[in-house]
Amino acid sequence: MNRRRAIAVLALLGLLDSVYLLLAKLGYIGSLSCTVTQGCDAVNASPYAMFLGMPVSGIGAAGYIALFAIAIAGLQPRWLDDVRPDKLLAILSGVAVVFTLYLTYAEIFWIRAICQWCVISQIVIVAIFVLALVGIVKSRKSGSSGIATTADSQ
Amino acid sequence: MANSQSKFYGMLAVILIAGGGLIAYVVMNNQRGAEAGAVDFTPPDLTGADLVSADVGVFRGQEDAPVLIEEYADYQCPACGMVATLTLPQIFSDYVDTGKARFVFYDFPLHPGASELGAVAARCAGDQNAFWAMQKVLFSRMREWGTDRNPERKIRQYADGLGIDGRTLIDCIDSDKYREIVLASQTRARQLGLNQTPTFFINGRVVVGAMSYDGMSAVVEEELAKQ
Repeated sequence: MNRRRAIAVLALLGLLDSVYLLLAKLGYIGSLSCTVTQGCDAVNASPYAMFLGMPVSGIGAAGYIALFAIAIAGLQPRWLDDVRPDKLLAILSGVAVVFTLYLTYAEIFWIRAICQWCVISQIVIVAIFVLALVGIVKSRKSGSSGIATTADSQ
Repeated sequence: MANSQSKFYGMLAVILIAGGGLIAYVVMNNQRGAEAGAVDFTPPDLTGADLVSADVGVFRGQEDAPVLIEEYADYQCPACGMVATLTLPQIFSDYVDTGKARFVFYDFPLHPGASELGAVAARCAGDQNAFWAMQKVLFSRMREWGTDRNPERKIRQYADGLGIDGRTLIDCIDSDKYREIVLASQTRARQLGLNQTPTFFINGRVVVGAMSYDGMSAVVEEELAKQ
């Protein structure tokens, strides 16, 4: 349960981070605060900050909302002992991790600038992925998978 | 259990309110700061190198105009696009084209690729007396050509739309004729210690970030009143 709580908190932080990047991308914030790294605006203004015509930060925000919703749903008594929320979280964050790897590659090798706000999102999504995987592994060990229980009872 | 759950939701609410509040503060502060935050600028000490000449900028308006507005911008920066489409047209018609102010545009591409291409394309359009028209198109459609696999094709379409010769424009872009001057303008921006776009100088007072028409005209009026 604590793992899903941690995922919910992380997803909320990721969402706030993405919204900040999205607002900058849409022009509501003149330029990003960039105290730790250099080139936040270069990254956010680059073509790689758009994917299929949508701002990457917007896609990120939508993804974090979904992860947050799943984590909260997984905290409800009905789903508490079910492994499916963990699987869903792992799949969604897994896709996001792959996408993040592509973006990190673009930052380092193509744009040649690092955006601290993107790094935060990268750390958050990897952490969510790892926590979701740990959830799956632990439930396998304890044998308390929701699907297995249903199958056993039939 | 129920108690720990409600504590947890309380914590989520606190994070949401604190984070959301912080973002709202940044957004509002940016708008206020850009409108009223014109401060005197002290150029950094350039040891061993001369500041790149102001000739690398593109001028508009009369040379003896009492107010000098300078902009350093990147063709892929959304805030610059906002200024180019929402603020500058009226500034041009009210102040620059009436002889009250002179406007100078400096390229400050923050990264290679589309930012540089846009800068070069606008200057090439200048060969056909269409710098400002092309600049406005490039800024207002930065996403369209900036994310296109073949941005030059898009730029050529814009040239056709503006009634200038697209082939000549593309030949000019490919010839790298203006690349050096664009990079010199970028160097000038870096020498001045700038690291954000857009950055404006209005009679030497610096404003960083997007400026609204009201914000910019207020500073210009202040400068006019000093004359």
